[in-house]
Amino acid sequence: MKLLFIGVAVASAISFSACNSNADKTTDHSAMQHNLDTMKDMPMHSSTTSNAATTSKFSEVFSHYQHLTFALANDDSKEAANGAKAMGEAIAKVDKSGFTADQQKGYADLEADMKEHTEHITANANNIAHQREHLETLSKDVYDLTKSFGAGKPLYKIYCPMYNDNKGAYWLAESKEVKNPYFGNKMLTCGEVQEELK
Amino acid sequence: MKMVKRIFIGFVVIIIVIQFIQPVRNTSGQVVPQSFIDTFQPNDTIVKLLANSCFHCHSNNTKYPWYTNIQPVGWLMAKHINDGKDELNFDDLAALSNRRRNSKFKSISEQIEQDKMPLKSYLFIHRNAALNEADKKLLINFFQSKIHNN
Repeated sequence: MKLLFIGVAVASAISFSACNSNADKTTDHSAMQHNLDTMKDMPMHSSTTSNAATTSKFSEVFSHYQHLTFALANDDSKEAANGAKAMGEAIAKVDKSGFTADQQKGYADLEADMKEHTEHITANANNIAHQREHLETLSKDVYDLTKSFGAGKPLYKIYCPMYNDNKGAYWLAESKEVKNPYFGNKMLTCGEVQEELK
Repeated sequence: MKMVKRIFIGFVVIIIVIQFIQPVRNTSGQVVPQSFIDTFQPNDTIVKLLANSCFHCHSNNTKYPWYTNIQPVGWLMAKHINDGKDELNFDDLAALSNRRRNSKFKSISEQIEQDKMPLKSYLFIHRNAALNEADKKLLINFFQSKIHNN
């Protein structure tokens, strides 16, 4: 009997230690829930109404993306998580009516990829380096989205050659002003406008 | 003292009862994810490394150690495998679009590079799944070579 008890104690000790890595994940989720609750009060339902802005089906996606890049430029990973969360929700709400079969396929691909990146950025509110890794790929998705569907307003592709051991990365912004989301305060103005998208 | 004895007996009863609740096993019968190997053509060394360090939680076939028959260890393992497959399943990679593959390969490289995978808590029990620097380099180079833009 004693042996069994010791065995059980050891087994539960092992399971608790193995559980540690999941512990932060769960707290993240509850924090996310809070953000979600507070965000419900914000006006974010414009796309569901018929008099929605004629600019672009993706204007909300872009504006939350912008929110995300500004937060990262401010080295604020909590706010970046909020931006990514809102962006993920905007992505899911995009009105796909009127898409051709090709566009539907293209968007489904972009949607799945953007969803994955926004989820990772949301879940890593304590790990800004990891958020930035996902921003790199997310920015490529947003760029391709703009290329395929148009931006509805001018967007600038800004390139920073120093990110990721000088491998370089770009982001998109509504103004030419360089606020580097990959380095934040460390090198806020590193970057040059490479392309203007419309 | 009587109370302590009762609590202890209750505890033992619970432990015994939960032994009968076995989680569903993640076994496809395929030791390695064949579609992944056919599509991406990793060499034998890479396959061996992946099989040893990755596939148990990131494919449809897990090799279960004996102690996973004991609950709640088995439950915990099932949860780890579910979470792992949600993030990355080598059995599904071949079916993904080029864009999605690139994202997965980039993340895999970064996770290995930064020693985030295999999980430390997993290595604590499965020391033989650890990757040394040379292994890491081989894997990272392999996945980087599979990233194709456009």
